[in-house]
Amino acid sequence: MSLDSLFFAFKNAVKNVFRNTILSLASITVLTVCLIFLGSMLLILMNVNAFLDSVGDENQIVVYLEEDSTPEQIEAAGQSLSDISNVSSVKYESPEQALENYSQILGDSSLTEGLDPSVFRPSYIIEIVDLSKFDQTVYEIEKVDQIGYFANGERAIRSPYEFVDKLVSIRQIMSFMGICIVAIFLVTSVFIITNSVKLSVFSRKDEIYIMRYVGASDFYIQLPYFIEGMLIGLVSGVLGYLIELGLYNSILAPLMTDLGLFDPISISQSFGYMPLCFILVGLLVGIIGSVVPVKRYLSV
Amino acid sequence: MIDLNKVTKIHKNGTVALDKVTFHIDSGEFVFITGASGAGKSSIIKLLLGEEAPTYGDAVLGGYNVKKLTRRQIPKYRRQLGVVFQDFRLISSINVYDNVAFAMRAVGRPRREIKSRVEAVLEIVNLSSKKNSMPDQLSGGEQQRVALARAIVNAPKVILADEPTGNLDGRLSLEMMRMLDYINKSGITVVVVTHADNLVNILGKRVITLDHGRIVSDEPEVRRSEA
Repeated sequence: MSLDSLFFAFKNAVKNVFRNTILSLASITVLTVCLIFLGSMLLILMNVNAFLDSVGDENQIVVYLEEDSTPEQIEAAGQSLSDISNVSSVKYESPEQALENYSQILGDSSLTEGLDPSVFRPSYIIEIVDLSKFDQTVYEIEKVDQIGYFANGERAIRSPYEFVDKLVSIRQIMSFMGICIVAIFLVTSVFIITNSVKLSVFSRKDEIYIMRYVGASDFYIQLPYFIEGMLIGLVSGVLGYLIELGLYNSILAPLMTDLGLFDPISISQSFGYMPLCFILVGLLVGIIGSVVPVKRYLSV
Repeated sequence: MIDLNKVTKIHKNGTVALDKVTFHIDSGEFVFITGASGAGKSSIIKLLLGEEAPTYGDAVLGGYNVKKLTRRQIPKYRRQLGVVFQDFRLISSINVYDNVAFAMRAVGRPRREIKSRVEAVLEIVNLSSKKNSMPDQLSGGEQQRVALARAIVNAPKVILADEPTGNLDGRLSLEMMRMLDYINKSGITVVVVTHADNLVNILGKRVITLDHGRIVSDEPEVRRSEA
């Protein structure tokens, strides 16, 4: 294909966009909103992940061994715990260290004076890697024989189960909702772009008919409509990113800061690839939206 | 140039549009295909345009067997043809020059070639002075000449004209036929489908007459002239 032909196809695509102004605007609006949702969901999820990472200290599980554990048993327990795949670190705390820590927490050493360290059990403080595998990891820990029992008969394991479970649930619900909303918008965008391109095809049916009979290739006939879809996608991508940037910096980030939960991450530092993401998704939706009518209505 | 060998076309509803039609058209010939409505004229045009394939038999144009045309071959096949329709089929939103240039752009010709070729072709059809006019500013005859210019601009081997005088009065119809005759003299094969017997008689070219999908006569140019 010559440069002249490419230029001609591009010119026609631009003309098509302006010929069906209302539908083109509708396509751009819906796709832009969709991309903003997509970007917002991504940003919120990344912030939640960053938050989960920042509360790593809360990921600690403490296991208590039997009071009469021998050094060999303590060593063996440490080894067994380290061997669990989702465990990132295992730190031993002797009864003496436990007493000392307890004194520090109380802030008054006189309160623990005379207290025998043997009231504390030898323990291991475990940190895990993936919070979503929390249950499974606790299950693996319970298999370690040397771990003692509480008075109620349960294994002597303390874990922030509820807290972690809530965080993981929130993340999962948000991910699911995000995927659903974005999917609905993406399908709607494809549908609207399809209609916009379909209208372009109908409004130029005479030209298409003539092109067919002078021997224009399928690709030549279809190209302006692909370009039209891509243009809508490109404009939506750029617009969506700019609006997202404004929304995040002026509303979302300050809101997260005000809630006092955590410091929001910077969009430019952590999402350098985001403009590209917006443009690529926009282009992809634009192309998918134009493929259907072009293939269906321009068959020669 | 064109060979139809026992071509039969049966439509989906069972109607027999063409029944064992056989004829040969040499390169550079001018041939009329005539017949009443429903005789099968349009079916022949559709076959030669590569729009439909014969149910039985073979239709060959410029070495391409229409029945065996692949999707990719269709544009190449059609570049051998220049088509003139009864209703002109001009693009109303662009001027005369662009209507003609459109056919060259559609097959990817370079801009410089388009300019010189379009101007030369508009000269042939006597429309140079109206190259900037819009189609709705032209008379029926002028519009059909634009369509003819568009049909010849890509230097086709064959001109297929489907009732080219259907929307023109007697004088303009004759003018159009004379123009087709002039183009034929440059070596381009011309096939005109028409039911305008008066014009056919005036020009005295070869005439293939169809009736109910069958060829009822094939009168060569010389014999008709003698008659």
